[in-house]
Amino acid sequence: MSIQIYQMAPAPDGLAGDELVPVSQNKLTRAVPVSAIQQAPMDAADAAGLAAQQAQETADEAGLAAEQANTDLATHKTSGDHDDRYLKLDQVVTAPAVGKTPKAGEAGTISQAWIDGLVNELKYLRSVAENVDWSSPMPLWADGQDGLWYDLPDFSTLFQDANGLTPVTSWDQPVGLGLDKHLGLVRGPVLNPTPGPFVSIGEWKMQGGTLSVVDGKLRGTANEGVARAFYFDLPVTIGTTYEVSIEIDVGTATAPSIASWIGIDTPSLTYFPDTGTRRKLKIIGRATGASMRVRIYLSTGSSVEGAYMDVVSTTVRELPGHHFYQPTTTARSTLKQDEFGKYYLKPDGTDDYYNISGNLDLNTSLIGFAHGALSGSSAQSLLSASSGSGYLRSIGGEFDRYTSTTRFPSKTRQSVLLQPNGSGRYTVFEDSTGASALCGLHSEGGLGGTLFLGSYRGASAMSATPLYGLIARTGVSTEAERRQVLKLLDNYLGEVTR
Amino acid sequence: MNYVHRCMIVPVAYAEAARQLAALAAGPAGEGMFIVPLSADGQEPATHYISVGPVGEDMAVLLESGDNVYAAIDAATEGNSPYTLEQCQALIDACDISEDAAEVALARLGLQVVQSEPLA
Repeated sequence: MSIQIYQMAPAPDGLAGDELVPVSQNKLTRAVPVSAIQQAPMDAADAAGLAAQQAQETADEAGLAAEQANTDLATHKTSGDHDDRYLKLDQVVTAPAVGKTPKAGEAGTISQAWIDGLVNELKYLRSVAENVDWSSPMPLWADGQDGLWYDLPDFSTLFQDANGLTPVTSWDQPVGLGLDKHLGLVRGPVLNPTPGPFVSIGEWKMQGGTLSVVDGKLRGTANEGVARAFYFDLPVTIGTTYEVSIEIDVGTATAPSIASWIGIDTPSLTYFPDTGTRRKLKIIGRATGASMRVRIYLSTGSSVEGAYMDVVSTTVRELPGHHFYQPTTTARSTLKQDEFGKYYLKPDGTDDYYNISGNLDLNTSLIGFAHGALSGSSAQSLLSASSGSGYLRSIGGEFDRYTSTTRFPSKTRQSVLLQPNGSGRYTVFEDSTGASALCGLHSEGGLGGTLFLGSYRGASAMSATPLYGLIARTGVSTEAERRQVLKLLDNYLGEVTR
Repeated sequence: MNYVHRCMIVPVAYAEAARQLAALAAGPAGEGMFIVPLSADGQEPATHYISVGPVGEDMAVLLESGDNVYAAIDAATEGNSPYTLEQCQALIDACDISEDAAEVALARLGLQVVQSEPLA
């Protein structure tokens, strides 16, 4: 085993991912992100046996790179609050010159003490990296304020489809659903009265068969004839997001792997992903009517008389929050990873956008988002509402709300806060570097109701702006809260353009 | 589900049929397509509409021929397809379907997105 100093090697956007390469293969041109050091393979025991020649070669390379890195640090570091997130390379390798530099194949003169010192330094830096508190924005909503928080690096919140069936597992995958974390992803209580284990059939019904309770499970036995199915109806609230979980035992049914739905924006038929005896399905959708029907088929064709299937459990829960979603596959953005290892949504600028579930009034709110370079001379809508006349847009590389008299210049990588100043017609823009502007609003309609991310009402002005994160909280904010939001958003970017 | 990239540009005369067929064939995943207008000079009236981005592999197969589209619609409607085989074939023949990025396809066809400033 050997030890190496690693750095992130940028890859062309959309072609390949970043990878860690030894500095001896690729000179550092910037500070080393902590995340890179975290990922560097290090083992203290192995490091103790480090070959002196390799260590010295690494140190030589690092020494040269450190000078460059420190020079670049001045232009690439984030705001003053974040200096600790970027480690000068001379902190990584404090290489005291011990004797001459050994040549390849020549006996080294580096002492074991120096190697031990290097190992200890790296262990310390690793512990720092692992214990950095990036701070959660959760206290922003502690008093029950409405809002949203899209945390793209948390893949558990992202799905390739709009119904939570296919998780996002890597960059370069489409994103059809992103869950809002501002309420902690806590599901609501079970809404259906008889979810299982079963002691009675409750609200369940069956098409063309009979229901019974067997060993705590709900058994449906088919009559001979057309497709048979269990089902129940449940009152729901239009626009609210629900999560339905179903668990079945297939029994002797012939095609028991399909569920169908009414009153929720899911595919009409959904296949269970499992193939064993016990099968589970979880789906997320928005209610489109006042009643939802959950239906589980024993068969899609004719049933054999006496064939049965058991429902082990079925739950319907609300999934509170303002989740972003896009049912239309071609209108979904792609998750990308940039040269700093940071994740972002990349809309194509042609037809990509998202709906935001539920109604949300952001007219008197703190809105913060981390973004990449704005592009295009035409207007692009970053946020808009189904009603009201205002929308947040970019045009010619500047931000404003329709139709402002003052615009806020954007930067290549930037965290931006917007906050109404109380007059209802003006919004303060500021970023994490201290730049700010007061932009006029066109009217007081603003951002309330059903919101759209990346388009004007889902119909035009599609945005091409890379989105790294979005946080919003209704109500008046404090200076400390604004700093906290900017700090978290800066972390999504890794490096911020000053 | 695996996804592949497709860029689909449909003449305005076929746009409504394309929207209906996409919704019939793919359900919610196919609804809301072909809403972005195109023209040669970026000004109205639109001569074409575009949808571009990831589509499921099953959808990509449908797009290969009018026969595939008709078969899918016929199955989805249990033999009551609102469009004939000939109409489905004419639609696919009239569309430009490629693996190109939007800007590449638009340049190839001499089209651009109609930019309309939203009215407030």
